[in-house]
Amino acid sequence: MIRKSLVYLFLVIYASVIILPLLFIVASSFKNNDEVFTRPFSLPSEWNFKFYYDVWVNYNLQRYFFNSVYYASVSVAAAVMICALGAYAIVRLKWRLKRVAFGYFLLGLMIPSHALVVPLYIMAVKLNMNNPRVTLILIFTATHVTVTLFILSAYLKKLPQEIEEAAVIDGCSIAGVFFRIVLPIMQPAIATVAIFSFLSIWNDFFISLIFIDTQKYWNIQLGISMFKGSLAARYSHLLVAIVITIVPMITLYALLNRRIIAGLTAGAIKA
Amino acid sequence: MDKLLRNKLTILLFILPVFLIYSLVVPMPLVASLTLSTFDWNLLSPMRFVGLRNFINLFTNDFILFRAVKNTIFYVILSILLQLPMAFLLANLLGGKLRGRNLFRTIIYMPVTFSGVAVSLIWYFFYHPSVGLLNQFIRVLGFSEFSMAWLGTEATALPAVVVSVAWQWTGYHMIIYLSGMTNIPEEVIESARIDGANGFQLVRYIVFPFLLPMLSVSTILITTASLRSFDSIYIMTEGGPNHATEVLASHMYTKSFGQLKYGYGSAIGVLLFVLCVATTLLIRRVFRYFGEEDFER
Repeated sequence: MIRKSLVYLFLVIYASVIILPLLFIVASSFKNNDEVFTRPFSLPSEWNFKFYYDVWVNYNLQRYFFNSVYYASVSVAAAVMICALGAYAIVRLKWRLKRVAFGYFLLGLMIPSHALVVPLYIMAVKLNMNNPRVTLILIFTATHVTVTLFILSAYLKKLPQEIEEAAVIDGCSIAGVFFRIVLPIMQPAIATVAIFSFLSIWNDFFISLIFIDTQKYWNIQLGISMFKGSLAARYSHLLVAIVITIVPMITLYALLNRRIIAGLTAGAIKA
Repeated sequence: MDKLLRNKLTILLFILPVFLIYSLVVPMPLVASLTLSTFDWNLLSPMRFVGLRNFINLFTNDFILFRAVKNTIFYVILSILLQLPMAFLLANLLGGKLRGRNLFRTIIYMPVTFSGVAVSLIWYFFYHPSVGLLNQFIRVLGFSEFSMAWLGTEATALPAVVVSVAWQWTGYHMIIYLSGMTNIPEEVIESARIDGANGFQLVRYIVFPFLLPMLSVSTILITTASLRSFDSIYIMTEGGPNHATEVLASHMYTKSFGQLKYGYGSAIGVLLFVLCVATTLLIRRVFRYFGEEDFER
């Protein structure tokens, strides 16, 4: 009995360490600058939405937010498409070098993007890529190939091949088999890996910082980091920016937590 | 069927898109990085071949690199010490049939979904000298002489950053262990109970050996992630004060994109790559060694 209470006590303390700072941030985001400083632990004296409007509209966080949605969804769609094709080639099609090819794609696990960004940056400059969108989407897509290909081929390997064989006997082409049978039955694996890649691209800061020079192309992470740099000392704005970034994540997580946990850990266990 | 699956054109069409995009952005730049690290180049002047001089300079002339290596090692070790034992403990507490375990798991895992930037900003605010929660709290308790600029003091800045990272990621490793624990057969635990094993013995002789592969994975993940760590440093301290939090990634960023020394920056990138591969292999080795020993017993 005592042991059990101690366990609960410990867990409650640990959970509070996670939750309380977040509640504190949310509560403080409604206070003005003075109140943040003078009455740190109380609820705001008036619930002030002015800073939310300021950050979202005047500081244009809305633009960066939708930029991020764009980068992440296009890159994930592209990665899933090319990797589904690739997974089919590696698991089902019959050719001699496929094991070698698979190993070649897995190499990506070991390569930190720090060892890639300088040549990629020089390439982008030399090719005069004025629109960072294309560059970013290309990089995000390619750096998520390894994980996507790995999860999709592992899933496909476990599926029985009989349906595909039956379809071919009925006169279906390989393209038909892939689009009408393989792609639909891979859906659970696609969902898992899409969640993983979307979050990882959404949360990217390093690549975006290097490749986006024009403010209008900023992603959400660059957008909120501005409240620490040039706009430091506007605490209310900083707090609002944090809340705007984490609340969608918390909501999404509350709705889909099993899926998200499965997606994020599947990305890890393969290492 | 077999004929269709061996068709050369089909194979090419399926594998080519992923092969081209991946090769262009991952293996090719890696090779280019290796090449570039033997040049001196700022994009404007012509490239100058310098052989291994960038690497020699790294280790003999660059006192910031020395600090960065030292700090990175500290970062890796402290991250492992903060995250692994806590995650293992939490997994053991939440692995049984405790009431409300799902709620606790969900809460503890939540920060994993946040971005490094958001977490760093939360903690930047938390550590803030005048408005930060930590100092306010210390003042309320009446120990105002202990309030300080946590991120602005050389001695505390790096540990403060590593704590914020542990706050975010401990739940992740907890989930990895929990998923490993579902593989332990009920009967094994049952029979150990019948043989009179207490809670500690159960953890030490059954859960721990079963989880060794997971522990190996999460040690590798923490190590490589810490080696690559950039966001938290860049946001919270920018490598300061006086390079007290400079790590390899931030140094590489400053050299390449701040000072436009692309060859030199590439050399640091290559060093990071080598470290990631070497530590991964080493950790696997170590765990395999201990794993076998445990198995033979």
